[in-house]
Amino acid sequence: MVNYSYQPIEKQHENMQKWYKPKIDQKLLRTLMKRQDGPGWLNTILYFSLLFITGYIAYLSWGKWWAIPAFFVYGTVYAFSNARWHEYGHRSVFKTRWLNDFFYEISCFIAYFEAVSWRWSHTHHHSRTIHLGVDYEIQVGRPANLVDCFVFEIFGIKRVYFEFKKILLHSLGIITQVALDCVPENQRKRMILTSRIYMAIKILVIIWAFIIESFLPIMFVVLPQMYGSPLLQLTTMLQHGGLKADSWDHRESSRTVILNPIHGWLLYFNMQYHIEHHIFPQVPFYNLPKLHEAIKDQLPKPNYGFIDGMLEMIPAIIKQSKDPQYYYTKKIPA
Amino acid sequence: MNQENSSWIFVCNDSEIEMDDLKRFDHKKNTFCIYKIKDGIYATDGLCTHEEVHLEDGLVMHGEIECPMHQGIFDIKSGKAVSEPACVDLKIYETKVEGGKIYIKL
Repeated sequence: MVNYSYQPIEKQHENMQKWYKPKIDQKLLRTLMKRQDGPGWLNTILYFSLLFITGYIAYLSWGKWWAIPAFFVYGTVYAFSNARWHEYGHRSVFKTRWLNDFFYEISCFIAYFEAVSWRWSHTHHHSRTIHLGVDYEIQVGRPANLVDCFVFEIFGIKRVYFEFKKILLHSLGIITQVALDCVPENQRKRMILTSRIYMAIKILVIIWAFIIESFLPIMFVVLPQMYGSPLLQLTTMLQHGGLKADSWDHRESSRTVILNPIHGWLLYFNMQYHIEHHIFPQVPFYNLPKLHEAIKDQLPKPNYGFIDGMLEMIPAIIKQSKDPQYYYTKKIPA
Repeated sequence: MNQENSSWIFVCNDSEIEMDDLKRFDHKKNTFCIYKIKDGIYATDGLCTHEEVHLEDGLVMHGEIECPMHQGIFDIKSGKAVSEPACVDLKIYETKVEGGKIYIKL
């Protein structure tokens, strides 16, 4: 399956019938799907304000001992832009569509996710969530490689390297496998242009650092996705880590975790309600808790807190490193 | 019960579709979506041209239908694909409302 070139995923209409759907009042679902601009603006303004404030504090700390915690906090906030490209990409944050698209482009650059290829590869993630060989967003492979998961993945090294290589190749007009598989031909020109813009900006930042003889621009724009990555990567790993692959039931392959509002609502755009997001991807982040309430009797019990999720996920991943068939079985209500 | 009138096929009563909403309509081996928006009643093919996901659970907003799976967007009146991942237009069909009943021309 890995080597197929772009085509709509086969028999998707039939596949859609296979995905589990909970019972929910259709009027309620329609209400939950409705978009508003207000909650999107509130979250967006708070997030970017936090990014600028933590960035300013980090700037003031440069050369002092407390630069280490200051940049760690800034980098952590910066790294959570990963949740932004995703949510704006679903066009569910704002009612006004161009606002979703505008912040999608900005967030993709901050998160270092090339905008065109990720929009398309993410459709595969939703069509065939954690289906081995089709889904390009599987963080924990089979068998799980523990060094990859808990060293290279946590510090974003593997992802940034892979994305840098992809953007570099695309900027040179060389189409990578993921683009061949996910991005239709009529979209590739734009993907190449976006890649060239990303490369040009990063190169300019590095040149700027040399000109002013300071590492600061690189600390602010190039490296935060790595040094600020641990909390983000562990949080995103909770989405599917240690769970079942190749399932047509998101309750088996995805995990919902109840997080505090700063971690969950502000930084993570409520993607901790991950089963709900996959079943109904049109429901905006601010309605996911209500959706959870409406269907929770049909879902596995959520994990309460980040630590609770880790305690379930990490042993399962360790077992998957020895036994690729193993997965943590979520108890699904009868 | 369908009431066929030459190539006009009865779909449902007008009152069965709310404003800014849609209804699935299956006829023989084909499937369609019938929309009610402020400009009137419109009909398109039922399956998204991106990955053949049925649009019946999609969101009607601003005179457009958004696919429930990948958020591709189509203009309801013209069927035009206006936002990726939808790239190929939806086929549209003529509709009419007579005596409170919606018909589609097939």
